[in-house]
Amino acid sequence: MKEILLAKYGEIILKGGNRPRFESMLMNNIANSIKKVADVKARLMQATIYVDVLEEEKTDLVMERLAKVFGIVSVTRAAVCEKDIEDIKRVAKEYLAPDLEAASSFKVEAKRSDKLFPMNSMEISKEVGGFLDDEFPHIKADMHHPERTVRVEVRDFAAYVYCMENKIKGQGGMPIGSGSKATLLLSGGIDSPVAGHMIAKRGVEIDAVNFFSFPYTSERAKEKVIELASIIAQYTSKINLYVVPFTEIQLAIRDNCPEEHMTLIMRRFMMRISERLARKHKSKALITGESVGQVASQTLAALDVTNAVVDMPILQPLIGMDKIEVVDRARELGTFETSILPYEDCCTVFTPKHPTVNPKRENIEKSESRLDVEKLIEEALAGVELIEVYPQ
Amino acid sequence: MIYLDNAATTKPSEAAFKAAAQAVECFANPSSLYGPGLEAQKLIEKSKGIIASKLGIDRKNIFFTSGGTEANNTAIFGAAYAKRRLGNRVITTKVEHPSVLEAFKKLGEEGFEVVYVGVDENGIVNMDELEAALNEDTILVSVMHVNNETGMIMPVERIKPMQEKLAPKAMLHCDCVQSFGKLPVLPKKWGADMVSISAHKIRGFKGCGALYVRDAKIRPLIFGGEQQQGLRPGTENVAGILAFGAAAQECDCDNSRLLKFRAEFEDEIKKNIDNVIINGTAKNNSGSVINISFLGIKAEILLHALEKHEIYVSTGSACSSHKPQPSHVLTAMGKSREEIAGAVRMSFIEPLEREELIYTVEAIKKEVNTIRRYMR
Repeated sequence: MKEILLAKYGEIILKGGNRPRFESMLMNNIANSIKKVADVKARLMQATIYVDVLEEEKTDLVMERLAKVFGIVSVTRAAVCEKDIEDIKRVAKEYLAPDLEAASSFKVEAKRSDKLFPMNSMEISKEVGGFLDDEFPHIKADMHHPERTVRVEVRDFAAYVYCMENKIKGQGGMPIGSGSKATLLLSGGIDSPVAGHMIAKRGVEIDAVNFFSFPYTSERAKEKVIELASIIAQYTSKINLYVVPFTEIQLAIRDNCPEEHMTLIMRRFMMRISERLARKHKSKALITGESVGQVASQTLAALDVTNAVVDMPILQPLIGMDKIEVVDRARELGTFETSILPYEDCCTVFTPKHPTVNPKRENIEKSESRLDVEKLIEEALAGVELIEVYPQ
Repeated sequence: MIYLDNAATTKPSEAAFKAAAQAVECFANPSSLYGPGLEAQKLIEKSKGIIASKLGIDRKNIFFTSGGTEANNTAIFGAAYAKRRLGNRVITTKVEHPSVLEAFKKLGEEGFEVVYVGVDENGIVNMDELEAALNEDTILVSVMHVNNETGMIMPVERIKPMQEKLAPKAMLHCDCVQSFGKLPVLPKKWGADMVSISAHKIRGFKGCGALYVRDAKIRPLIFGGEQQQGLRPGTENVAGILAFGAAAQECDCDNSRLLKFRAEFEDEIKKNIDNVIINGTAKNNSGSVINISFLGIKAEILLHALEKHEIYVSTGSACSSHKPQPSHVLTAMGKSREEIAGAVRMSFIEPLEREELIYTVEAIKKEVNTIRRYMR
């Protein structure tokens, strides 16, 4: 008996002329995410990807990886049968025995996409259901609330049986690459990795920018950001992380600008530098992790001041979320534990005691005019370090 | 590279490296009955002999462990469980290493009555308080010899006479991880029943330590073969043990040069930088540690700033720098928040270089001034 993985994709089905292009992106992304893990053969037919894992012991691992590829809505193991009702019954009995023995009720659902098969879906369900009912006398047929749903699919080249309960949920979304590229402002905190993941899920390739204030933040803080990027890369396959030296800018702000404006001016620099990096590397938008009112620099007035310096869409997917929702997502994503490591607190040196919560553009611009903004940006850009981050 | 974090660990010496390499040729299991096994056993015994002679004790009382943490745990749990029938009180100090404090915390959870004795403003254990805590019900007293954050020497030799009078059933354990090799560690003279030491603090390798246990029986923590009289079974870490012996051989247990170096360091710092407080004193110090509070800065920023000069120092101890809580040692000494936030530990081992001292003080001066400017 042969086992195979069936991965189903979602939203791509709804696309018209672009569908073949998206499908080939999805197949490429699957190949990239699995190639280092196991040897597989994958092909796509009728909105289903058939993945034949050539090293059987790695099936679970491949399943986990597939479930992280954007575009895929579900993955399941299935047994391959000949397109012959007797073979389907034989395989179903053998393959599903552990599942059926553990349950007290079941039903069979059949689907026939090969209309040349001599029986229709109803007939297949009835035949296989009746057979399994006889073979496993302890288990009752139940059409409404079955403990196990046996699925039989008769497709172009073969038939497949599996148990619906063994199916795992995928990420959904669109394949990476279908939505061009955006640049994520990645700090070491909880929010920005979640924001990056949400946009990536829409098929957008991600570059990341991190601002590094050595010695006010440590090498370990940088390692933490790389670690976070590598967790996001499990979903996006690779991330270019640009590390921008930021100490000189922070010191210049500290020396020349009023303390209560410090954070906002600092963020304006971050936005400007990120935009320049984004344009240079053909990115179409910036992504940040703000949520309205979370801290002083995330009030609407503050967002107005920081976003004013950029002429590019700024995607803020967390904007209407509560912290608790963001934390839940970070846990699911697997970044939470890394985000809460304590290494970044040195940066609090530069946090004003009483930040402005209702800033006006003119006031901030006036404070900022004491700095040679262009020169500071040029110097920071000259020191940018590129780190190519791959999944762990 | 100027490595000033020798209380965290040290660079293994050439002699330690060579000794460890013997374990490659002499790879047999020391418990095996044939010749090569015996040869490995003999090398272990030789190493044990060197360490025993530095401690002024018999070789048979040395038990090798995986390091200081295991030695401390073995001593504390081993003694507490063995003596449980005789009493319920266990005593330690507030400034011990986490491998002692956490073990006592666990004993507390298991129903032992734990007393934590405080220290004075210089970090020396309060002997009156210790005396008051001793009673008939006391079965274990654990006091460190030299504190890892301040270098202060505790008057461990004064404990046993008090114990004999007030707590005759109690065993005395001394954590000598920071002192062994640097100044005399003399369990017999002190009347200590157990002493913990570690190899990588004296230029041996990580993963090897030892516990001295006087004749009294303590309960083992791990079970297995018959190695080390069953107190610490498991095939011996031959390479680590040989390196430990070689490293111990090179120690003269004389801290006069360290003390002189520390005094010079203190002078230079005070001469060059304002608003500094030395935590602990030159008197009663091992000389291997100087703990300085630079007021108005965060110690971690200074630590990273010094990295640029390839100078490596620490905030508190390496074992507690993962957690952001303030140092329990400085807290027990009654230091203010500002003093604790700005506290940097520098720790030395021979050979000591005066040029490094001058270079370090220069770098500290420069960085402290910059950081103070921005922290206003």
